[in-house]
Amino acid sequence: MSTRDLNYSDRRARMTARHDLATGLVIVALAIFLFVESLSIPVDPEEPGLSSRFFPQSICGLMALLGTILAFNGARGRAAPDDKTTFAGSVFVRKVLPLSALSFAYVWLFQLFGYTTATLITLYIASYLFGVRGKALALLSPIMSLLFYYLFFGLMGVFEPPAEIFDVMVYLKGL
Amino acid sequence: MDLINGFITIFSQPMTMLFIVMGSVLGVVVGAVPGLTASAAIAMLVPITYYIDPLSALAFLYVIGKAGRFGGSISAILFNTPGTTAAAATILDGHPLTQKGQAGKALKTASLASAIGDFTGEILLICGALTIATFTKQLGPPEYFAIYVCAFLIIGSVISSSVLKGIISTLFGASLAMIGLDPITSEPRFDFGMIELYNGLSLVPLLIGLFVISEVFTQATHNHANDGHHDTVKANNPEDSQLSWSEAKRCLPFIGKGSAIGSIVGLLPGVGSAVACFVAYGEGRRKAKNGDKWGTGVIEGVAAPEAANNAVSGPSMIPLLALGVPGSTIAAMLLGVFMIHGIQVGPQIFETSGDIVYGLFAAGLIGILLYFLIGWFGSAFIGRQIDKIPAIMIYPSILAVACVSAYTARSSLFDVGLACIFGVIGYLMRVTNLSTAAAVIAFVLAPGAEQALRQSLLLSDEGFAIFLDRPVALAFFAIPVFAISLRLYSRLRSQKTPAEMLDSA
Repeated sequence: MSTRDLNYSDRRARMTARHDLATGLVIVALAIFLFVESLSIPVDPEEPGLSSRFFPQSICGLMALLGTILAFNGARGRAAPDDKTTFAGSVFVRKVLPLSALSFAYVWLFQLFGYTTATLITLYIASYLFGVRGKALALLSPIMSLLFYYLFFGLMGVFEPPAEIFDVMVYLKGL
Repeated sequence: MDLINGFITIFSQPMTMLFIVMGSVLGVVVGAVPGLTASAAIAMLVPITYYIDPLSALAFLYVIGKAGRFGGSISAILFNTPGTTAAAATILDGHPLTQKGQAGKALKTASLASAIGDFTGEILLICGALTIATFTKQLGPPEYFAIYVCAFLIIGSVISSSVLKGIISTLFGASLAMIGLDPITSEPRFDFGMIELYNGLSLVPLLIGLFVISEVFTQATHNHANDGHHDTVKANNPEDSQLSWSEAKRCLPFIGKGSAIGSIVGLLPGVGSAVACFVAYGEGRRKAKNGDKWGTGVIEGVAAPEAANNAVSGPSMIPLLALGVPGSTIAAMLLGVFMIHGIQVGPQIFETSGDIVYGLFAAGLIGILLYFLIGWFGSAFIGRQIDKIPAIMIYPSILAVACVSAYTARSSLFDVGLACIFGVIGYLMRVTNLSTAAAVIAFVLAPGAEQALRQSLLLSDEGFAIFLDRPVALAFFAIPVFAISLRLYSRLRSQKTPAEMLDSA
């Protein structure tokens, strides 16, 4: 193994350790939050056996303990030998964040404008974000939206929620 | 006899048969698309099972899982990209065979080995599940709690490259299962004042978020600009596309060993096909007379891992059917389908829902035959068609289907939002090497574990000492301790300092 390879694996290990530190801290924060929340679970002192709080609190305790160990190892720059994290902040912001925002927007659009409009818009933007261009971009969204519409709401008979503002399908059916 | 009844049930229900055929085709296609796994496809299709009868639903998803494992070999052989992690070892000899113009031979070898391996595993499941179930009927809550703890720790310790992260993933999944009503007192827990969380999180948005939407996000980070069409080298002569009887006979010992390795690995919770295929490949190469040629394109190098990864399928269902404890993600999803249809899974299932269980076994065997035929005659065609569709057009459509699927289960937009949240969480888990599969299995296991623990202590006058009086429970507690210690010990032994590595280089 060359010195350059070692430098590379060393850099990867240090990056993994940094990510482990952050992951450990998030896990500890989550455990603490859930533990505090568990204190509001009603408990009957006369009830035999373990209370409703025992299991959730045990899980929180273990999560906090293991999260602390992960964060501690990360702070010391140590990671498991085969453990290689791949998180990249810039990629997350450029690629994942817009797509996740779009998926949340889909829920909101679905509520306001019904399935068809929401899926058309979401699929169009998602295709654009993935790099689909030209004729394919123009055709993919309407074809797939209609296909899924007939599959789920037509063939399977899934209940279609009424749109709060305007549903193009209701308008088209009324013509 | 019960199995024959299972076949009769399947053949007398055209709808069930249709779902088995669809499952075989869909499984092979989904498995062959790089990045799409059988687990992701099943996660997306679980909501559909609300609308069909339980046997058709279970058979459909079970066969997708089986065919998906085989489908992964198509892209591994043709495009040097495994469709699923289970086919990662198939690349080593499969793609070199394609480069020699022998893609047809490699694909036929993969079909044959997968079908024989899967058949072996299925027979083990049919014989083993009922045998184990007769023993597990006598187990009480303390033993069950020990089995749950054993499953949690084994899955957590083997599923990730870091034991710590694997166990954290299972605890995260278990914490999600705590949302909703207490199983004994029915007190609400962690509902944060939201009526939708009062009865707990639904499995469907969790599955879709962690397996499907997170995969779409992961694919969005890849650069698909270089995903050109793959050139396939044409066969020089007709024999290059065929698998002769003598070649098949040469592969049989490796298929046998691969099937045995896969069946044993399948019994271990959480280990999975990816491990089985590499163990079988390594073992096959070590024992083969032409071991030095493995990796340059020999059919035995395709046969061994393919038999192993498919042999995992049947035995991985044994813990689910004999104990009610899923040992793999697909088993966890099938448990979800059993629960959707109100079927109690555990050792009693052979008496209470024997027709469904034996129907499922029969469906598995029919599914194996179907995907073998699809693979033998049509895998090259399927591969060519998949190569024509750019990945950038597949994933936006999958995002839309995933969202609609999440809605379908309970006609709830809240579930769609939840699936999106779990999509982001799943992506972050993937890139930080936490295991989404471990989280899902733990989510399914945790309520049973809590119930078993609390029932044990209600039975006991001496508190936790009840576990000390139960030898079976103690044995199950000891297994993960031994397994984790062994893994940590072997890691400590293999750890070298950078200076030592330079010295040995």
